[in-house]
This record gives sequence, C-alpha cells and structure tokens, in this order.
Amino acid sequence: MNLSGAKYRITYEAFSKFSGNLSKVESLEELGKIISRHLKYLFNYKVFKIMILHEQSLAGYTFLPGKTITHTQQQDLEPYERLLLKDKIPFVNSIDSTELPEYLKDVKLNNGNLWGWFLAYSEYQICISLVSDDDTYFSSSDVDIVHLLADSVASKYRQISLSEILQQNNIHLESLVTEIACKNKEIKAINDNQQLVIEARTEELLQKNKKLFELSRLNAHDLREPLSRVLGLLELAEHLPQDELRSSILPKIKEASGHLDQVIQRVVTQSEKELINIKSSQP
Amino acid sequence: MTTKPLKVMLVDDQKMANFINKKLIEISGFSSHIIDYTIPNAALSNLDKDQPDLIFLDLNMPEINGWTFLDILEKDERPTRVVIVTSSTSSIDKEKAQKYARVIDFLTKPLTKNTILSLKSKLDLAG
Repeated sequence: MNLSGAKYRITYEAFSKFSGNLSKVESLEELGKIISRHLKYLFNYKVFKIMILHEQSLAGYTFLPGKTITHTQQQDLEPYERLLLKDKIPFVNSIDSTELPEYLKDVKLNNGNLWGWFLAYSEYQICISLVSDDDTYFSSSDVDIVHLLADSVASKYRQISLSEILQQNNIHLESLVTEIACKNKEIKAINDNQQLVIEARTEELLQKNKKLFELSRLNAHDLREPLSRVLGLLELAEHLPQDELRSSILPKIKEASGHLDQVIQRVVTQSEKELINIKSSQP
Repeated sequence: MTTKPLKVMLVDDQKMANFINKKLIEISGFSSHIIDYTIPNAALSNLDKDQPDLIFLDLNMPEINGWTFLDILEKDERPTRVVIVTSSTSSIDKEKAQKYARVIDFLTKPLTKNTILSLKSKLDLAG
C-alpha cells in the first residue's frame, strides 16, 4: 500500500514534468525528443511504440532505451497494429524476440510480453504497443499512465497539425496577396497607358480642329476681299447714270468677278490639299 | 456744317477698291478732294504734302499692313483721323482698332452710300 502510494506519487511528479516540457513543444521532431526523454520515468518498457492516424496521414515513434525511430508511412504499421485498428480491443500476449519486427531484432527478451491499446479521439486514432519482460516489468497498474500519456500526445499532435495548417494557409495567403499586388500593378500600368493614349489622341484632335478652324477662317477672309469689290461696284451702279454704268462699271464688275472666281478655285484646291494632309497624319 | 472742304486720303493696295470708294465718296457728297494710294509707304511719305483731314485705311496689305501704318501714324503730331475700311469681319480686329484714339470708325467692305452718309453726320456732330 505504502509502496504503491509512493510509486504513484513519483510517477505523478514525473508526469507533471513531462507535461511542463510538452507544453513548449512546437514540432513533431521536438515531440519525439521530449517523449523519449521522459518515458523511462513514467513506466518500464523494452519497446514503446505510438502511432497517430489522422485521415490519410500517419505520425509515430518507436522508443527504445537511448534510441527513437520515427514513422510516417502506413507500411510501418505491424500486423498486430492493423488488427488493433480493426478490432479496437486491447491485448497482452507473450512474445519471443524472434517474433519482433525486423528493426527490433536486437532486443533480447526474458519472458517477453506484447501489450496493445487502441484509443479513439474525435479526429484521431491512436495505436499504442509496448514490449516488456521479466527484467523490465510493466504491470497492468501502469496502463492508466499510458492512457494519460496518449491523451497529452494526441492533444499536442492536434495543436502542431493545426499550427502547421495555419502556417501553410498564411504562406498561401501571402502569395495570393503578392499576386494581387502584381495584378494591381499591371492593371495600373494598363490604365496609365490608356490615359496617355487618350491624352495624345485628344491633343491630336485639338490640333486638327485648330488647323481646320484656321483654314476656314483664312478661306472666308480670302473670299470676302474680292467679293466685297463686286458688291461695291454693284452699290456704285445704283447711283450712276446708265452710260457711265455701261462704259466704266460693267467691265469692272466682269474683272472683279473673274478675280473672285480665281480666288474660289484656288481656295478649293488648297483646302482639299490641307484636308488630305490632316487625314493622312491620322495614326 | 463744316464750311472748309474735307481732304480725304484713301490707302488700299487694290486699285479697284480705291476706285469704288472714291466714286462713292464723291456721289454721297462727302468730299470732292480725294487722293488715293495703293502703296502705304508712298501715302506715309506724302502726308506732309497732302495734309489729309481723314484717311480711309485698309488693313490687309502687303509690306506695310494697316496696323503698322497706324503705328507709324501715331508718331505724327497732326491729329489726322482714320476710318478703317476692311473686308475683315473679325471682332478681334474691331477691338484692336479701339486702342487707337485717332480711329473714329471701323467699316466693313463694301462701303455703301448710306454708310458714308452716316459717317458724314457723325463727323458733322463732332464738329
């Protein structure tokens, strides 16, 4: 009674230390190291193996005194583990060292036992196996501490997985943000270019309008000059006697009209030329 | 009514324009003393000899245009008055003409008997 009470207290203290260190763990690699360091203070074992299954992924460790093996693949599951996952029934069987998997061939056993437990959490399944013998004795009273250990590891594993997902999401988000910034830059460049094109086009149209206005103004002026002489002669005609009109004004009207006609023809030819110039300068 | 006969000088590079304006001025009884020039420079150098009271000035002329003519005239001491006679209908030209004190009217070609009569009554009123 006293002995088991003392053992319980020591184990509990060891577990407290383990929990304290576990809380600082941030990666699966560290998780393996911390378990390996504390395991021997929690219970006796020759081999301790824990496999965590989550959807398609698997993470696990095999702990031997002074050695840790990491598992990441489904094929690392031993036949008795597959059975355990299927039946979910804990067991303890006697085992000979020759029955151990290949990678545990060096483990020597003196009346060996293989223990197996299955634990289910909301998102994970955990498969635990332990090899003990008469020299490193594991008793059924140690099963509770194995369960406690599994609970702590499961919750830690969940935390690490979530933070990994978060980190990956963050990286993805960051790359999206960078991509959006790039696209924005592209769009801005397109807009700016568009703006320049519009400005250049507007300026060009303004210049052409100015040219056309100049042209029409010049034409009007050039035409008005000879026309005013024709009109001036007609005004004179109203106030002169017939004979003077016939002898001096009519020949002048003829002359002035001829001049007006010449100017009209010149203006038309020049305008056509100018219009062709303006049109041909279009892009 | 002015008793002294009005002396008029016509400056237009177009001979025919001078012919028309001279006839109209005569017909309307505005003046019978008219000298005409088709070369502005010649008109300027004969100012002393001719001593005109009024100059009918065209704007659009080669070598010396109406504006240059006015600028040179500004240096003359005599208060010779000017009537601009142009085929231009530009309001810019009309505004520019207002800057010259001696320009008393801005007329658009062709002149008519009526325009000249209005100008005459304007001058009579002014004295």
